[in-house]
Amino acid sequence: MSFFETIGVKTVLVIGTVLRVCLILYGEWQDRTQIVKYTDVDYYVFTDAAEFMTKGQSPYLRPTYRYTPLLAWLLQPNITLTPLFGKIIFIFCDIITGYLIYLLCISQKVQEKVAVICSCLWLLNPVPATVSSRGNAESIMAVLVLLSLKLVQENKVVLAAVIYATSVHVKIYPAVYALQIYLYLKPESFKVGSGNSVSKLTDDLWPNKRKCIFVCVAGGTFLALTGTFYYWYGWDFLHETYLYHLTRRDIRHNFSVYFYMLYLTMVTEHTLVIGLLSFIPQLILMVTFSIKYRQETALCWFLNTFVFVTFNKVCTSQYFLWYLSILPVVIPKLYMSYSKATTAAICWISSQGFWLLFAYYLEFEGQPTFLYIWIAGVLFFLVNIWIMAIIIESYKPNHISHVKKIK
Amino acid sequence: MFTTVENLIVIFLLVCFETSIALQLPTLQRKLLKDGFHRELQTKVEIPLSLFTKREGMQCRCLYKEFLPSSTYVDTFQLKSVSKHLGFDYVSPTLDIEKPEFQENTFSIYSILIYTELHINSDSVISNVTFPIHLRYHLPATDYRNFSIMNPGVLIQCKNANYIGEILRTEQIPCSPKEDILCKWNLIKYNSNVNELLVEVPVGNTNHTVLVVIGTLTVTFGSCLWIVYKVFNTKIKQS
Repeated sequence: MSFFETIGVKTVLVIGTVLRVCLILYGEWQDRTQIVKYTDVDYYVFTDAAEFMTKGQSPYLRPTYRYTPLLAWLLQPNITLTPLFGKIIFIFCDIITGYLIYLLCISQKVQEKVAVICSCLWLLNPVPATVSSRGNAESIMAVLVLLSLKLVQENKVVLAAVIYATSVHVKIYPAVYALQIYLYLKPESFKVGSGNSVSKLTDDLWPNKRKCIFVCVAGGTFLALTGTFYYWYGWDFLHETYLYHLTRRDIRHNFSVYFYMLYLTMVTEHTLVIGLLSFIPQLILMVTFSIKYRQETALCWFLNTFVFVTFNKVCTSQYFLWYLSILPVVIPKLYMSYSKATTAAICWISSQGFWLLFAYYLEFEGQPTFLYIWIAGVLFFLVNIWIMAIIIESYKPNHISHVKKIK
Repeated sequence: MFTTVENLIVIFLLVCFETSIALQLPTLQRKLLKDGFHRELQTKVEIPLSLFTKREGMQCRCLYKEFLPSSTYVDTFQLKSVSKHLGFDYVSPTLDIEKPEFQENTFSIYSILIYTELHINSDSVISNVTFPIHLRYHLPATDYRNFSIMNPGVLIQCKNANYIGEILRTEQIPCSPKEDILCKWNLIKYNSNVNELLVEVPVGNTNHTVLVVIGTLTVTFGSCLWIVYKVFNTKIKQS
């Protein structure tokens, strides 16, 4: 612990940056000399799409480009300047994410030392560092989500609405925070009311000026972005950016607890019913959290993201970053023993390892290990549920815990 | 007038000649390397040098016309990045690399062209090409499903040499993937170690359906209710 007492956030930011720059340089070496590339496949997709854009063409001419045109637009210097440009942007966002975690902790009256440790959980974590230096764009989402979180907490309604709407435009999943944000925004002269929980909820549902501004600005921003890009790129844009992700039903093996069930029932007459059924637990939990934890923005966003990913019909490891980027902001308020936190982290990682082992036998050895993958998927799911439960149990607003390390 | 003995000798000679021609046919060896969903298709063609009337500066190129089933796909962007390293050029349609086999309704067979050099050895010319190919997910059955990959058409084109082996037909195909100029390619007859490659793809087991559906729904709904119970039975602690 003494290490964290002596260094400030600036030092951690510098170390985090150096780590990521080294990874980019290492990646360059590996890409040039080895058959197996360091760079993520998606990075080539972004670059190809950016190339179409520099020629004044639609980025959707690149098959499997399923993102906002903003991304291809942003990465045009990949063609005109250096192919590393995008990676530099992504690690820059990664560093900003670390800094936002620090700021969010400070604004929750967490001790400086603890805030630095929490930012280390992101900045010195090899997982996000590898992901962003391989050219994956998830760090942009982390910045947009944490920035929205900060602005909502500070009641900067207009700016929060713009950033939040942009984040939903880039990746749809932050839409699961909408109900909580609406319930959270209070009138400017707000006094804590008395009454039972139902009447409090009715109060929070009642429109006020802040809520109206947020809804209008966020809705307007989202529609403006959608409208503009629809005008430029037409149906391709709508399909690739939104509809594909909403209707995606990839039955190839993935971390989702539902994968084997959906695969086995895919061409039966029950497929629609089963698809709808698997949506219900996700919905119930997200509505429950949005209502119950409406005053605890960070916790609610973390739990909703966690539920969304854990109960999703498709789940890959990059989705984990969506909630791991919010977790360091929640950790200072968890009252949990070190041993419990360590057990949770070990279970989370080892149950993934278990899944990966069987997936390896299927994918690379051609063994029909589907049932084992399913069992491992159920196990990983249950570990996630248990972690969700202990986080709910150990959460204390404005409490500074002894435990900082969960992942 | 031939005597019977003379007739027999002629027949014997003819048979020997035929056999020697048959022995001299180009050979094709096909293998599917690696296991699982990400495979490598290896094709090796060996043509005896005696099938060429060779002149100074002989140069030959080989073109494989592959007809692959929709049970598989090739990823053009992957081919683009590995083809130089692996020493071939290609023409390929852009395929949907995510669809399972049973949803790929647009075609049942797709064709790709692989261009490569023929290397001259002491007594034969050889080409050896390996390219990555992937298996699609198939409908559940009981553990495995099977499909087959046909042998390719082998076409050659030579400078400063004539091919005197058996030619099935001559085709007009672009000289290289990057140009529109057509070249005359000779589709040659060959012997092969296999007529087609039989491939096994692992699939889900339909006997698991009831267990998996009931298990999954019980676990997810049960977990959901347990978490809701936890939420309403945990008072938010105030410090």
